[in-house]
This record gives sequence, structure tokens and C-alpha cells, in this order.
Amino acid sequence: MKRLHILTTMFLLTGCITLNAAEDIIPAYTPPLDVNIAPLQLPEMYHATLENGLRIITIPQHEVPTVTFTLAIPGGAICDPTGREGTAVLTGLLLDRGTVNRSGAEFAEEADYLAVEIQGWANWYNSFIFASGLTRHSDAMLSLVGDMLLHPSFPEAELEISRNRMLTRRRQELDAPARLTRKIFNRTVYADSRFALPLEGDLETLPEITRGDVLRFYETYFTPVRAELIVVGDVDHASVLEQVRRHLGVWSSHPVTFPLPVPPTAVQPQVILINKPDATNANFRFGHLGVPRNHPDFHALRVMNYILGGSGMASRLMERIRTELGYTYGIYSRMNHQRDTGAFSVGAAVTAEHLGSAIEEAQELIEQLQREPVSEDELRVARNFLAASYLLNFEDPDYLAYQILDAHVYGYAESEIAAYTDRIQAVTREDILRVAREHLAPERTSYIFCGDAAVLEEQAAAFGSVQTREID
Amino acid sequence: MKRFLICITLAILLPALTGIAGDQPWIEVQERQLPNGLTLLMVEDHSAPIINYQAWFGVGARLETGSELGLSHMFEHMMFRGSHKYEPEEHSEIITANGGRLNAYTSEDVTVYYETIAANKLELVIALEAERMQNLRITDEILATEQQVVLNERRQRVDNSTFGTLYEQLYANAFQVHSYRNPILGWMENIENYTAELCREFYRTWYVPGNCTLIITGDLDPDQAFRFVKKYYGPIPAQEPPYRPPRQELPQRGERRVVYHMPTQMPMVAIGYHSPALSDPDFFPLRVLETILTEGESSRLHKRLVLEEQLAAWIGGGVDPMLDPGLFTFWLTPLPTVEPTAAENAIYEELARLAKEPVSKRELQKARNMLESDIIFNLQDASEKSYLVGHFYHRAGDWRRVNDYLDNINAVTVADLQRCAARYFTDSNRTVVTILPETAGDQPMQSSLGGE
Repeated sequence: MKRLHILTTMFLLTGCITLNAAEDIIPAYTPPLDVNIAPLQLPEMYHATLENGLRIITIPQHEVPTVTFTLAIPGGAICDPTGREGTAVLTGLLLDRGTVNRSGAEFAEEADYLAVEIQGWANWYNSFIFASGLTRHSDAMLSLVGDMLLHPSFPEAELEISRNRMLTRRRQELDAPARLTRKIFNRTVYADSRFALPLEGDLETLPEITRGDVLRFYETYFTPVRAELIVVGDVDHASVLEQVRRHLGVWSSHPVTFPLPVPPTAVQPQVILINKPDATNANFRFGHLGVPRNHPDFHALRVMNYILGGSGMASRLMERIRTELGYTYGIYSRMNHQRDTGAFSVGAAVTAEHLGSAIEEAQELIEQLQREPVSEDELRVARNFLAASYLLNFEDPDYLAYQILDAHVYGYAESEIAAYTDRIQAVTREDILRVAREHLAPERTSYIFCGDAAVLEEQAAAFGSVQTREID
Repeated sequence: MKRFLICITLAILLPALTGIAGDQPWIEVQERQLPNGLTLLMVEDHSAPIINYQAWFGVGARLETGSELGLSHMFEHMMFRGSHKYEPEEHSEIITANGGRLNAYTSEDVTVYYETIAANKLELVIALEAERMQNLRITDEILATEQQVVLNERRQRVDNSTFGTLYEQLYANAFQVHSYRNPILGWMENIENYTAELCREFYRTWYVPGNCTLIITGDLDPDQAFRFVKKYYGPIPAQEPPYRPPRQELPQRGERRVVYHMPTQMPMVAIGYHSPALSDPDFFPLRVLETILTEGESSRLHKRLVLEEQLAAWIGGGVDPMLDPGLFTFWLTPLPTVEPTAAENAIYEELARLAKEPVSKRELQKARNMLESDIIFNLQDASEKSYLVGHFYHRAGDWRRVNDYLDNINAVTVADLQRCAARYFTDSNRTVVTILPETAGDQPMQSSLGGE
């Protein structure tokens, strides 16, 4: 034991000498400045359309014996009936909770036995069925997908269970300051549009949804017209097509009309303080409406946001407010893009006494972006990261499937998927200065704070007339 | 960037760790060693022109004592704050400027730094990682700012989080002797009192070649990778970490029950049973029991508590895959209309049933199928492969455990399941933490636990 101690001490001394002598024993390595961004090589894809209109894209990859099916059906949460927001997600969740052929429990037992993950869901624009498992179960998987797609029975009891689970998540949100702040931010900025409420609906809308609403949603939007099934995995197109035809070919089509989008109402900037007396820090999110995904400035805004606060440790916000000042564990800016609208925001959890100064520092960094061009170096780093890391995403073969679906949802050409890196590399310092001036609007900014009102009220008042709200 | 991901979620969200089917190993590893004691594990995967690089240091909350609590995690921050050659955050900036992604996390057992980047950037990553392992700059100024960042992290992740508090309380109460009782982030009081000298000593002790394993997976040439590692890590003087024997937890001789009041909308319950380490043969039956109990909508607890009896909105859990004996945990959110103890009792009935009645062959096969599928999906991803190799190397003593994992799972018998359920799921081996909404008159407990 003593010998060990002596040895340890010697090691410590050795380390100490190395450090103090400043003798640098690690060779230096200077990487080339320019990153060679290889063009994106998309894998081979096969297309087919069934007689009922369902489009199929197969993307074979043979690395491991798995397969993933993503069925996207136009009609998502933006089609929720007003006052019954959450209907689309609830409909998706209920698809496998009982069909005319299987109870929910039987369905789950069958899927679990095959180790197949099957899930219905909805995002803003599409309803989905995802299924993934080992390739040897692909036919059985499609049989289950066919059953939940064509024969769901939406049992009333299952609806109650799913609704209660969704309500629980919404109640838990009230305990999570960052999520609560984001939710109130969306309510404020996306006022009156569907995006003001969470995708899954909220505490006041979920109790209103009836089985009739779910059935109506299903009957209105679940049609193969414009639906697509993307198959990724260790399969060949011909065999998988035969399986799809057998299980989904009988899906009958009907015409569908989508509700017109309701744009967010332009609201006066607001300052809202959510009182959470037990909070030991302060959360904030500030920002305003932004632009849709299809906006020509999308790529310049990506680069701008990366430099401001989209890049984690390397961003200006993080460098100043975390690394230099130590006010926060993390601060980020976000550019959120929808089909017809969008939002820009900055958010963080900070030491309560530094709330006001953290926001002032952040705003100074925004104004700096509007005042002077970013440095060549920052631009190079941002472009390289965004382009090269985009390519890394394609290691996951499902990523391409999501990109294809995004192109269709937001209405840009599929060729843009491969063109992304070039578009990013073409962004200039002048572009960033211009988009910062055009799209960042301090005068339209709303502020949401969450924390102990007694501590934060005075700091919050510096940003306008404060409305304090209690959590009930 | 969620750089400072701690392992609060890891134990719960850990993907299934399974092994081999047939004669072909799932993962082929080339193992090399430098004369200074550093280990290099390489996995060739030429499916995409990228590499995943992971530097694993065998230090975490498990080895910390006294004023060191949380220091492994603090170091995960300090390692980004500059070295002889680089300014604070420059390591991250260089990696991202070269199109790579990086992150790090601290767990009870290890601290891990990792990068994913284009394969032709391997030398860059090796040079940067070797530099911060040997030449880290630790100053009072940098430490002071980073202490504030970590204090904020603790407020955000633990003190203002119901789940973070629940996790911390379960381990703090289930363990009395072993250091798994200590929070990975340390208590507020620890974080506030670190000194630069304490940090330097920690660095000299643990960031040494004998305590470091590099795992590189991806589109690499092993000989070239080894040459790079030799060039940059080779000059670091040989040093082994000191041996700190793990503290032996005494057998628990009675249920421990904690009710913790905090302002929350929903009660939450955590239940923990002392369970064996990853290297123990009983780990495999417990992993199968975990699948039977909590994985999938047809799992016993989900089916009964969430779907049939509607006692809980959510239930999860499983066996800790740790270096030393950990816990088999259950986490649940009882529905608002339900007494949390009613949900608890349903779990205990199911655990007792497992000890009493053999599971059917079909149910055992279902668990095997799920565990097999899990590992095959994990093998699609270079970082998952690196993780599996590092995980088994560090916590089970040999990366080859990846490859025989599924054999071990498939060898589990119905009798093993019954024996393990009876042995581990006993009342006296159990710790229960219930978080209840604070009512008027409740005194906050946090102040006695290093809170503000």
C-alpha cells in the first residue's frame, strides 16, 4: 500500500514537471484551411405509383438486415378543428390501439413478438405511420401497417387512455420552465394561428376532442391521393413493391380539400412574466415572427443564425454569455420555419440576478450583426460546418427519407437536397448583413420570462409593460 | 450543443446492449497499445466516409471522494477551455470549422469525449485530443467562470427539474457507502469550492495514458490510424492511474422510503433494487426481465399500469449496466386520480408473480427477439459501435463481451428469470422515492442538500 502511494506521488511529480516546464511534447498539426466539401452522392432510389395513387420510393441499403417504412399522408395538425387542437396526433396514436381484426393489446403483442416498432403520429403537415424492424419481418410489418391504416376501430376506452397520457405530458410541462417559456412564446408570437398551440394540443383543447372528431379526421384525410411510402433498408424494390401492393393496394381513394392556412395575427410586442416562485434561476425567450421555409433568404439566415447562436459553443451568444460571463449553461438562437410563416427567437436559463444583463448582451450581439459584416473567418467556419455536417447526417439512411418528405411539404424541388451545400457555400458577408437587417426586428420583439416574479419583475420591466401570470 | 450531457438519462435510455448471432462477430476490433499504457481500439466500417472518435477516461463520480465530488464532470467542461496551443473553445471551433461534431459526457464510471467528422480529418482529431490530454491550461480565471456555468447547469438540470431531483434522490438514498450515492454534478457546495490546484492534481492523476482508451470507428486504415496515435500520444510519459478500490455497499436490510415535496403538478415515483454489475452473470437474466417488464406496449408493466388499470401515464426502467453493482429501477408518473401507492403495489404484484410463476416460452422468445433487433439497429451507426466497444471494455473488462452478449441473453432460462426475480426484487432490497406536490407548510429540503 505504501509502495503504491510512493509510486503515485512520483507519477504526480512527473506530471507536474511536464506541465510546469512548458515543454510542449505534443507535435503541432495545422490542418488545411479549406474543407473540401464533396458533392452529396445520393444512393439509388426507385419510384413507383400504385393504382390508388400511393407513391412508393425505395432506398436500398444493405449494411444491416433492417427495414424502415415511413408512410406520410398529407393532413396534419394544421387541419385540427379549431378548439380541438391535438386531433391529428390523437388520431395517429390511436391507429394501432384497436382495429376491426385485433384489439390494441393483440396488436401490441404481435408487433412486440416480431420486435417491430410501429407507431402512428402526426406533425404539422402530415399524418404518419412509422414501422421498423428486421428485414425478415417486412411482410408481417406491412400486414400490420395495412391493418392499422385501413381498419382502425378507435375504441372509446383507448381514446381516453391516450388523451390522459397527452394531458399528463402537458401538465408536466408546467413544471419545466424552459418548455413552459417556449410554449407561452409560441402562444404570443403565433397568435391565432395553429402554431400558437402545441402540436399535441393543450390542456384546454384535449378534453374537447371526441371519438367523432377522430373518426372525421381519419375519414377526411386518410387517402392514398398524394400519400407516399418511403422504404429504406435491406430490401430490393421489386419484392417490397409486391408486398406493398398486396397490403396497401386495396386502400381506396377519395378527394380531399385542405383548410386554408390561417396566418398569425400581427400582435403588439408583449412582455410576459410567468411567476414560478420556487425557481432558482430565470428562463427567458424573446423574438418575433420570421419567414417561411421556402423564403429565398433561408440559406443566408441559416448561416447568420449559426454565427449568432445556432452553433453551440462556437456561437457569439455562447462565447459572450456563457464562456465570458458565466451567466448560463447554454444560450441558443433559433430560426423556426413553417410552410407559411416562421419565428426567430433567443432563449436560455440564466442566473436570476443576470436576467436583464443577459438579454441586453444578447441584443447588443443582434445589433452588431445588423451594424457590421461578420468576419471572413466566422463566415468560413459557419459555411464549412453547415455544409460538411449536413453530409454527416446521411450516414443515417432514414435522413434522406425525411429530406424528401420535407421537400414535398415545403414545396421545393428534390434537387435542392443535393444543392444544399452549394447554397450554403454561396452565402456572403453582405448577404448576412442584409438578412440581419431585413429579418431581425428588435421593435417587434416580445419577451417571455419564467421565474420568481419577486426577483425578476424589476429586470423584466426594462423591456416594457409587464404582464405577470400565475401557473394554475 | 448539448456538450455536457451527463448520464442521468444514460442509465434509463441506454440502448439495448446485445451480442452475436451465428459465427460472425457483430463487431471486429483491432486492439493496439502504446508503450506508455494507452489503449487503442479500432473498428473498420467503410459504409460512409466518416469516422467517430471517442476518448474514454476511466474516471467518473465513482472515484470521487470528499471535496472532489463532481470534479470529473467539472473536468469535462475544463477540457474545452484551452491548452498550451489553443485558446478556450478553440478545440471546438477547429472541429466545427472542419465540419465535425463534438460532445462529451460524464457518468458514474467514465468521462468520454467524442467527435464525428470526415474520415480525412482523423489526424486533426488525434492531434487536438492528445493536446488537451497533456497540455490543458487550468487557471483561476477560467475555473471561476466555468464554476458559474456548472452551477447554472445544476440549477437547470437538477434543482429545477422534477426528474433530475427524483434521480438524485433515488441514488442518494439507495446507496449508503458506495459512491454511486453521489451526484455526478456534485452538490452546489462542492462546485463552489473547487480550486485550480485541486483541478491540476485531478488532471495529473486521471488524465494519463494508463487511464485512457481511444476508440475509433469508421472509414479508417488501422495502420495509418495507429501511426497518427503514436505520433501525437506516444510522447506522453507512461503513467497508470492510482487504484482506488470501490467502496463496498452493505446489503440493504429493509425498505427505504423517502417522500420529497416540491412544487410540481404531477407526482413521480422512483423505485430501485440493488442489482449486480454488468460483468455479473445475473446481469443477463435481469436484462431479459427488464424487457419483459418495461419494453414495448405489450410489456407486463406498461400493459397493466398504463393500459389496463390506468394507474400511470408512463412507466419505464431497467437494470443499470454499470462497473460496480447498481440498481434495477422503475420510474413512473401515476395518473392524478390515482394514489401513487396503488401504482406501486401493482408493480410489486407483478414482480412477485415473476418470482412465483415461470414466464412462458413465447414471452422469453419475445424478449430475445427484441434484444436482437435492438443491437442490429445500433450497428448502423458508427458512434453507437464505438459506444458499445467502449462500454464493454470499461465496464465489463473486455470489448469481446459485445460479441457474445446475445449468446448470453439466449442462454437465459425460464428458471434463471424466476431465480433472479426472487433474489433481487425483495422488499428489503428496495428504495422508493415519491415526489409529491408541495402543500402549504412543507419545508423545502433542498437547503440541507447543498442547495442555495
